[in-house]
Amino acid sequence: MTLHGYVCYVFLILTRLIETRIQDQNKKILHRLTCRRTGILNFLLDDDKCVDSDLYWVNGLVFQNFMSCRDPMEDLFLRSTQSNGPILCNSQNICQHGKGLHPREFRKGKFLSKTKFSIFCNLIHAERNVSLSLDGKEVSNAPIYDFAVTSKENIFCHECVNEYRSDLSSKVDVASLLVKVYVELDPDSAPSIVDSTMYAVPKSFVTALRKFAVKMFKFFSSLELGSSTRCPFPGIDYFEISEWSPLSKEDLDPLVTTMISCKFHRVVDAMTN
Amino acid sequence: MTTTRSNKSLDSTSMEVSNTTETTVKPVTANGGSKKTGSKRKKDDPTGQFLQMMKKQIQLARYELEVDPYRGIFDTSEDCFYKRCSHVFTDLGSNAENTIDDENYGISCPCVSSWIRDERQKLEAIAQRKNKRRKNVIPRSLKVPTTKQRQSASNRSTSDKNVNVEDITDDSNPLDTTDITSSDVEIIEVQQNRTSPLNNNDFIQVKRNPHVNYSCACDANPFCIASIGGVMDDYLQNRIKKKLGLKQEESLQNIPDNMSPKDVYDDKFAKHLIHFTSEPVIKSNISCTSTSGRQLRTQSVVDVETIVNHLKTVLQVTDAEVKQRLANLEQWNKKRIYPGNIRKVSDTKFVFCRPVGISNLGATCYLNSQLQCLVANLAFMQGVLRWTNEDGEHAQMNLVISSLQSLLAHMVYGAQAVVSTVEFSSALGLENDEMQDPNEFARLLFDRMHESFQRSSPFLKHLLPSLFQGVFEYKTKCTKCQNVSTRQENFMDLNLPMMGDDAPSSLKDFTLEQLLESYLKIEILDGENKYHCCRCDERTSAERRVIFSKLPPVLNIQLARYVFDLKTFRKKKLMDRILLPRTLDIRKGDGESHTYILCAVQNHKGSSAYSGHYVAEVMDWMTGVWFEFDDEKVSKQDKGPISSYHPSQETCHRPKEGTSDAYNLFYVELTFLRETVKKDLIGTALGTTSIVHQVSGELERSFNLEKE
Repeated sequence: MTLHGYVCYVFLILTRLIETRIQDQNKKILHRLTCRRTGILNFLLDDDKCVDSDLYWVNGLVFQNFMSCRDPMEDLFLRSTQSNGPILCNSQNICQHGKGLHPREFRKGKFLSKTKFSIFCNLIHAERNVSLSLDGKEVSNAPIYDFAVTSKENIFCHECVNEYRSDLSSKVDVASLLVKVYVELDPDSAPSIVDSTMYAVPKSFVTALRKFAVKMFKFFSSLELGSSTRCPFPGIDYFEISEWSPLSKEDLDPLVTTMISCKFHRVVDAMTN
Repeated sequence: MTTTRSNKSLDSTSMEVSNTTETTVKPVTANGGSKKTGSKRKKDDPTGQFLQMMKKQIQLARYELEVDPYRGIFDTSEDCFYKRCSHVFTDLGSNAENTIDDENYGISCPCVSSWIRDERQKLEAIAQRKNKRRKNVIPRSLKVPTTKQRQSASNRSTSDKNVNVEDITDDSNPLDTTDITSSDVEIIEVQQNRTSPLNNNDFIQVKRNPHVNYSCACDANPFCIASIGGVMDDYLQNRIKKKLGLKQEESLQNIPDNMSPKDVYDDKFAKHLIHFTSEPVIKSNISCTSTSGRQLRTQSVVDVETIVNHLKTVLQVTDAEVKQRLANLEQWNKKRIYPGNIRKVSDTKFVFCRPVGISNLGATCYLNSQLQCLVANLAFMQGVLRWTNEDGEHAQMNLVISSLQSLLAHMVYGAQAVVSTVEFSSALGLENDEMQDPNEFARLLFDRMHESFQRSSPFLKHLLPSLFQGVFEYKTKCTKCQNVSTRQENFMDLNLPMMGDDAPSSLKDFTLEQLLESYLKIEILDGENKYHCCRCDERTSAERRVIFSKLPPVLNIQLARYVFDLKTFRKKKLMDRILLPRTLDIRKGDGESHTYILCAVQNHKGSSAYSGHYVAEVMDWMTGVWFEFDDEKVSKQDKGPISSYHPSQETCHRPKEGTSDAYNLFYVELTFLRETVKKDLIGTALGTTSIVHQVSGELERSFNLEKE
């Protein structure tokens, strides 16, 4: 056998070995995922009679990955093994005041009944241990989660609620104002409020403003968070007014009355526009 | 957080956002199936629909503002919008008939419903195209249908009734019969019975978009797991099939209800499952504080020496009397602790009934801290508990006082470790999510209480002035004629300005005595601030001084930390650090000196005048034990309030830094405290009022219930 042939032979052997190793790994992962799927379908979701009033919060992304039965969640297990810490770290989601969850953080999660939560934890725990034991690693007794976050005990943080409400309140004010102005500026309807003071506004400005409002209404109605969704908007809190300046100066006159006022003295001299 | 706000919760009609919007908004953006419904919807105003949607979004946001920012946890109403998604399992589990009459299969999750509708539209479009092709082919060939074709056609006769009537008359409708010849009569008869190209066997998939970045509205609803995707889609699919009587996935079919996990898994996996039972063991402890409010009162262990020293200082009694007092106090404290919560302590320790915390209703920490300061005031308690609704009218103020009375009684005599101010707050008409100044609130409350007490017994008529009212005397001396004019003024609280920029640079931390001294020092009225002297009948320079002609038994000192900043035109908080003396000697105008003891401090935590958090540090008048009250959290303070000191202490033993949190201070006059404690109001005199009887009865019942 020539040297070249020998190298090729070794390369082939190594490739085979790696392939076999990868296949083994894939088999192990597939086995875990199959077990997970079986567990979810038969135990986690087969729970119609459950009437637990206490609800347990779990991280939405972790739960979604778990339910996908496509993600082996190895990063989660690896982190837990390396730090000998819990697999599910709720402490990462707790608010800065250490009292509970910020409403924005809260809605990124999902609620499970006590029974479901226990099954979820046990499946995760079993998967982690199976993953370690099949890799020939020592199976440690690391906790499944650092602490549980439940609806009755430790979700509410009034500081976070105050902060959230003040933030949301300003967004609601903007949205309400926009609706009000849109309705008031409807050219087909008579003004609803008869005021002694009347203001002259150019038609072009009204049109541009109404266009802008419609664009925002559409955004609120069917936000495209993902590639294609027509589900309703998940809440006004997602709205950031600072990100909404798509209109150029030509579209929406910042001075409002430029079109109908004298260029030099800014005095309205025509009512025809 | 309480759960009594269901009256404000949005009902299902007003919250019908998702379903309504799905139906109305969809045709504007939809592809595929949207064309056939377009003929009807063209007449509608899509912008109007967007506007309606926007209004509903505002309504949803208001729900978070006014009812529950946690989207349904604290909303007890059954028809909470967010909780509807959690009914998905019960919807599917119901034994409804095997039909597809409900185009969403009864699934209440708006996202899942929208996926089903999308899928349905696609399938309908495909079926219509197929039918159209068949329609075009049949007349040309004029073939009589075979038996198989007839059977196939008759199988499809079960119709979907939900398709719009206009769909049938649409130009592109495959069921248009005008071009079909008489030889096709049999097929036409079958087709005329149909209103939809779909039937039971055209099963509609439930599938979340598998794209990684895909997100739907229910992702922001913690109560919805139906839209989570993955295995859930398969599960829903199976349940729908089961409901429709179709063949289910095999993995679900043959598993009996009583099968254990170990029967399902192989050994490799099964051996790692722990506690996989229907009643699981949750191993880890919950770390945060409890907010349930259902806990019964617990004990707090205090050094006996602390109480003995206090009793000796306040009561000035012999050791034997102190011992007797101590025994009475222990009995009184143990009476209110749930027996299961009492632990044995050594002889040097005293079992103290931990005071009650108050739950925060949103931003009501100012109210909670103020109430904690007031409830420790035995004389005030005595007054409020004695109040009866004598005029028999349910006027608003009577409602306020009766709810305050009930609240205070529960705080002192009740069984619960945490009480709620919901009733009191709503009687006062407070906005629970709006922070208020505690002093302004206290003034308002006192004014109204005083007004209401005027219709009551003579004792109550003078309760508030007799406790909190003092009298100032302003003496102004004209420097020209030396004439002295005097003016008296009542006060319920002493508002001390902070030194701010006027403070000597050598002073970093002020004591309260220094502030008081600065407040009482002689003021020169000169320049633009000249005084109009009656005798000289002109504006002259003068000296003005303030003296106390009468001091109140309970002195409320407010530190004017909030000032208006002319640079920013906003209120700002002065962060001057103050050292708080535990005893304060104040001299009256006639030279008589009064000793006051610090009994409560209200702190504002935070540097902004518009936000922050209020906590109270309060002394138990009977025992001298200090507690910090942070809403529901109550913790014992061994050394008393932060930055407090005994004036008799040497300077080196005093705290190094003052506090910039202290905002409202309560001092009680020593002789008044002595008289009040001697009367042993809590244990004896108040035990006779009806409200105390009522709450004590509740306490016994709660304990018995807990034991059972």
